[in-house]
Amino acid sequence: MSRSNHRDAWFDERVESYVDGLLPIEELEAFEARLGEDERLREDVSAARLVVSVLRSMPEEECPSVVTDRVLEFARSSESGRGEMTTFGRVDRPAVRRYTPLRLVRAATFVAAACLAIFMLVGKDAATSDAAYSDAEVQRALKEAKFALALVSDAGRDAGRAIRTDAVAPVSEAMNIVLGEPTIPAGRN
Amino acid sequence: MTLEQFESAVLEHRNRVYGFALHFLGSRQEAEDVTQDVFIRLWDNRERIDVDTQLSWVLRVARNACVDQYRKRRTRDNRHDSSVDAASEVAATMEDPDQQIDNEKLRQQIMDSVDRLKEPYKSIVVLREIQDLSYEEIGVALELPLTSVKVYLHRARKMLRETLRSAYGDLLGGASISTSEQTV
Repeated sequence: MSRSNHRDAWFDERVESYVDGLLPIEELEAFEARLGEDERLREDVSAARLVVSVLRSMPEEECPSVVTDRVLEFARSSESGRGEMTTFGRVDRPAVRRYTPLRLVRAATFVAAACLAIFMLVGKDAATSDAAYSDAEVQRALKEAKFALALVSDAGRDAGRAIRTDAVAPVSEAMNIVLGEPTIPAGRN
Repeated sequence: MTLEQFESAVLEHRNRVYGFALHFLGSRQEAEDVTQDVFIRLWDNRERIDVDTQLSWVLRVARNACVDQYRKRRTRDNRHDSSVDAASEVAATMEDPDQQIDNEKLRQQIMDSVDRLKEPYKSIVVLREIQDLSYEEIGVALELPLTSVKVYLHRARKMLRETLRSAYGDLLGGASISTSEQTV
């Protein structure tokens, strides 16, 4: 290595220390003197400043509460003897809650069965009886219908969530992969 | 460690672990999975871990889990092996030499460069420059001597600086660099 290259390397090695304000005073004077006459060294200092500036300004990321909720729930149930203590990687550690296709099928089946039951009840009553209904009977029927509709609504919501998680999200993710757009955390955008 | 101590530890360290995993892996879903796994492991090992060493322990486990996850992902998807140099990509987009450096492009460029760092450079950069851990804490977490942490960090920052310099070249030469959020 020539004397000139050696000297360049000496300054190059001190760029990060200079940016951090950690150069000893005797080196600082030499470094700043060189900085005044060396454009490349100035570019290096600017680049080093940019790197730390960007990295240190990254926002703090907040862990979603659902993650800690799952962990704490698992620990509490384990402590109270309701769950089996497991080790990392085994099947019965708390899994990320996902709506499986089985869950989707169950929900869809329940919705269909509930709708069928309502139609059958209404249809049967209409076909077999021509008697006038009392107010109390009408009120009771209305309550039963509301209850059935609430159940259907819950099951429908469950099915909707399952469709979003199992069908829409994977397709969207696959599209990103196909289009070469990897998932980038919002904090970096 | 009691259940109450475990709950305190989870609440105290969750953002640190999640943030580290997120910056390391670049995926929220994977960061969530790693965070969950780290704390399940902490619970599994609660009898053996001293309260004073919790942070370094969870960070060490998080780092190992991230490395494993990263390797699995690279096996599935070798996009990181692309021969396309990100620096030249950025340079190619800057047709106008007078163009100011765009903040988002710059941030993405630097994070992409961090993503390409090898271990332990990458972990050290994330822990020191993004998460603001002390050299001592990083040394304990990664089981490295203090001097090695300093040397690795110095080399990593130099690598990042050189990548940036090769991408932005003359724009760095003493000119102010305007960004959409701030001037850096």
